[in-house]
Amino acid sequence: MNSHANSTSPASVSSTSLLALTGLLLRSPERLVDDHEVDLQARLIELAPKLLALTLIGGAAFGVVVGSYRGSIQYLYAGLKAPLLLLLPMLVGLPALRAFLAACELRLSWTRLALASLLAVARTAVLAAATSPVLWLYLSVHPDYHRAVLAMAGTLIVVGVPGLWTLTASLPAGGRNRPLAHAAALAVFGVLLAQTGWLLRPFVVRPRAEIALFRPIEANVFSSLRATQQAASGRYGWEARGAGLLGRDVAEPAELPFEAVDPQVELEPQQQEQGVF
Amino acid sequence: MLAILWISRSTVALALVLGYFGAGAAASMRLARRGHALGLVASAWIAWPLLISVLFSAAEVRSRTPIVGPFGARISQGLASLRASLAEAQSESPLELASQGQLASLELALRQADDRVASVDRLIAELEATQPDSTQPDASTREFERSRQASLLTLRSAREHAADELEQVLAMLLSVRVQIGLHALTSPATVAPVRERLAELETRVAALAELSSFDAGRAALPLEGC
Amino acid sequence: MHGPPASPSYPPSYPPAYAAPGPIATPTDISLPLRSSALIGALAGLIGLGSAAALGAPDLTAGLRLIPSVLLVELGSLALTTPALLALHQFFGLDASVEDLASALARALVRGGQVAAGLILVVVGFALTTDLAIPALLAALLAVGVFTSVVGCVELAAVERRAKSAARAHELDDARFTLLLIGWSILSWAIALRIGLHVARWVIGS
Repeated sequence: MNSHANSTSPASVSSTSLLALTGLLLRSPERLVDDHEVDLQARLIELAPKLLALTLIGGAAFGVVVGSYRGSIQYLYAGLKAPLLLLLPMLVGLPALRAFLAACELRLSWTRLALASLLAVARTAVLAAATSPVLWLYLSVHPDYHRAVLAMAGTLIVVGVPGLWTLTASLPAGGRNRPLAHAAALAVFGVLLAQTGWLLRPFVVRPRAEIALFRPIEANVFSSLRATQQAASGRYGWEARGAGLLGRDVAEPAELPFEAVDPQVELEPQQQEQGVF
Repeated sequence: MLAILWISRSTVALALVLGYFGAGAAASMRLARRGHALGLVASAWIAWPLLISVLFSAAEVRSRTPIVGPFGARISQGLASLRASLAEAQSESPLELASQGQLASLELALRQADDRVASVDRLIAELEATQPDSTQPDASTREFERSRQASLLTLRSAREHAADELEQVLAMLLSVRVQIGLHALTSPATVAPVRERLAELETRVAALAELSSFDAGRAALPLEGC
Repeated sequence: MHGPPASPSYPPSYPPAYAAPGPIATPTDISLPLRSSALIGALAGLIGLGSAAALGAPDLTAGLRLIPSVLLVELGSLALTTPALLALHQFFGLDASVEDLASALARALVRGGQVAAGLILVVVGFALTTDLAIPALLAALLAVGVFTSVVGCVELAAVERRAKSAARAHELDDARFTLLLIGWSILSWAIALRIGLHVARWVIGS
């Protein structure tokens, strides 16, 4: 126990190897920001590169496993994109979290917030890498495409919860109505994670589908989830259109009405691909 | 028209991505100039929004090797006195005489000038320790000795000049402290002279970095002739 | 004549430039005066949120009208409910002064503006990559409204508590104040929704 307590002292953190930092991260990451003797900015300077390295390595490992469903170059594509899947929601959502906490009378420095978020993301990435063998085992038996996507999403949720917990635990005590801020932050990060996953797709690629680094910017994660649900009940016909300022087409295709389609009729691979992730 | 719209959409996307990584590159350069480690500099390229507090914090003197030279103690003393005088004046007047950034830049420039003097001192010591082989007083040995003496002369002259400049800057620090004391005794009307002296000091200190009296190319080391 | 030292010594460090940083987290203090920069920042945040959604507007007119939309809803609901709150508060003989109540509501506006500013990036992301700019704006506006209401109630209760003297610590006063807060919250939400509908019609152009 003493060795664990001593291991977060300022001198030891600065000389800590990546593996040792991983252990600290998994065991008690909030202690890395709770050391009252340390200058937080110095700690951020010391730890930021290492935590980012852990995020990249852990995320890439997770991505490679997800890419194994399709194989070929999807190993590389998914491995490159998975760390972004963890980093982007955090980068976009942090100002919102800070604003929510400020509204709940907890003003904290950007340094502390940045350090807490890096710890959270790195911890999530490391946990994602740790669960990769289980996910790989499941994907290696080639489950149905939708089940594979659910497995990926489920894994991210399972490892994301400790990550979010790390973020909140790394924040200082105090403030009023903090559960409100945490609930709002959870909603924002959840939505951002889902939409980022949609934006960076594909991760899970059907065995016969064409591999691409990114798909066009079209639709959104909510409409695709709705379409998947409708497809599961036999209603096909959803067609993704370009969306947003970056994806909107000038001449948009006519929207096909939803109607019952004979499930015996095999859909085109492109239509099949218009599902989640 | 469609082509123009398509081009403008992808241009916007490209501009956003390039803008993000361009800002990352600028952040990396700023951190590198401040002497931060390579890992942090590389991290800034990807995650610069998280390092905003580091980017815009007061400049600290960072170096992998210590840069305390022969004037180190006097620089520390002079700056500590300056800070104390400024703090005293600040407590009596609402006007800010010097920002933390200015003081940090001043310290950085003085430390770097001190480091340059120390580097020249090390070089002089190495050259003085390098003695030709007196058992074989041939032409090449004489030539080596001539060259060594010439280099030592140049280095000592440059060192003198750099040290004199640094001495004058340290003396100016003292006069700025006197000016601050006058400001504290008189009125806010004397803020302008204090700020002018500080600006003069900054210019003088910046000139320390541009001393051309020490030119490594002119001071040919004796070993280069071998 | 300054000669080089015989053996230069380099101690490993010199005194750091600045003292250790101050507190990491600081709670708000109702006794601190509200800075005008905070108010301006809040208004900028509200306009910024509207501008973010304007990026995803279907046409230029709707986009331009979206820019002040959040500000109109937030300011409108506060502006229309504040006089009623102040008047009833004084009519009930409660303790806090009008100035303190007004500054409490101003702090609530500032917090709402900060929440709006924090959500700008999220709405920009949706506006650039989806057709959900308006739903994202509505969700953000909901968050702004919730936080403004909660902070408003907390700040009003804080100023009332501070003003209340021991001699007047009546349960009846607490009940009236609580009812006043609930009534104000309901009224401000109702007015915000009504203004929101008007603004939405104006943005669409009908």
